[in-house]
Amino acid sequence: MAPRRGWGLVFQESLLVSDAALNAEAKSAPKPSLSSPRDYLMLMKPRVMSLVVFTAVAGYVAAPGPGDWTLGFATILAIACGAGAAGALNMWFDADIDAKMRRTMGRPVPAGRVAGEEALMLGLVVSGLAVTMMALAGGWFAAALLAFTIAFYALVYTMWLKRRTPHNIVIGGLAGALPPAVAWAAKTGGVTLDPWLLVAIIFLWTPPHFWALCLYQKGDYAAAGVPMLPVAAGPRATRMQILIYAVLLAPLGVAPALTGLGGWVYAVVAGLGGALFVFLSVRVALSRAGEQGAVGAADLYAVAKGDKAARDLFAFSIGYLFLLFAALLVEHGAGLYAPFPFTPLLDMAR
Amino acid sequence: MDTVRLTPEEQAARRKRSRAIAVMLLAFMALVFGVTLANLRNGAQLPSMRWEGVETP
Repeated sequence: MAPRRGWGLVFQESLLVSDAALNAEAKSAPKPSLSSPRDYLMLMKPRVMSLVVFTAVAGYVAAPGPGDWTLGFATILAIACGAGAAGALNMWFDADIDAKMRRTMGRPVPAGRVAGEEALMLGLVVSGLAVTMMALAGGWFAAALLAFTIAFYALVYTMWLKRRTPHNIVIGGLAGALPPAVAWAAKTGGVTLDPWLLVAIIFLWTPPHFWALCLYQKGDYAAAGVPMLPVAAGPRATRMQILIYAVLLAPLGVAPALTGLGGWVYAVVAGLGGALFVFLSVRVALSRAGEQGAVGAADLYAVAKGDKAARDLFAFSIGYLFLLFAALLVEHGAGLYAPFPFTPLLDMAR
Repeated sequence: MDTVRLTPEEQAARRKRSRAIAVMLLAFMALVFGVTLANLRNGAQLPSMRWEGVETP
């Protein structure tokens, strides 16, 4: 018969077991991180965030009503944090394809500077804080719209559409288009035709902007297995799609002047900018941009020349959107608003 | 019990992260405080705090 062990011995053994378990746990635990605060900032895609912030500021300033500086600041910060959180969730989920593309392989997760789980937790926590802040500063409707925007980018675009359909950027672009409406809702408590026009402009601007970039970066997307339009449908179809979207975008860009949201400055900028956008898109459609070897793969400069039309459109598209929203900002923020005389949509917008 | 020993670089990185978290938390607290004051100041006119059917001065 085995001698009975006293409670003291059992306790000592349990301590030994616990110690061994802890040692094993310590050995299998993840290595201490060398990641810096800058890596976490990079997770939040600061360049994308800057465009989101700019359009949101324009939406907030152009919305009717006196507004409040503190609440306005908190609203824009909440939108910026929401965009950053969505970016972190995107980087967590897309780390595998980011590692295969030259443009993205240096991002914190694929480069190994930040663990995927950290990116996920950062995204979730900052999303919660951003929506909470928006509820405090702009009300529940704006908070719900912001939550929808984050969820749409993370779930619908990143997790569902991006790897499945060449129209990923068309539908997913809605997430990047919503910030002016979120800011408008935070200031006024609702959304009318005017903010939806701003959303529609960014929504139609996104596909030609990204496809112009993809035309000369498609090797990256093909390597990662992402079915961007130039990869899935070919450069010719992409160039035609760019032209179609540009033709739709140019008149829509002028529409805010017809509702009275934009004044003379906006009308001129949107009219001239839209015309130039269409012109550059026609150049892309007539070019052979995106066709590997089209002008001689051995000649580096000739290849660059072949893609030049797409590069020009990509660069101009950024300036176009910036100028449209800058015009709104100048008119409503600096008191330079002079009403455009032809406003047939004025009643619909109020 | 074995514990993880941090290298000087890891300690420095951890310290930076801790400071950044502290700054962010303080900024968040200040923002919530500021927003609360602004809501109290403008409360009745704000859609988020408007009560249906109640006349405000």
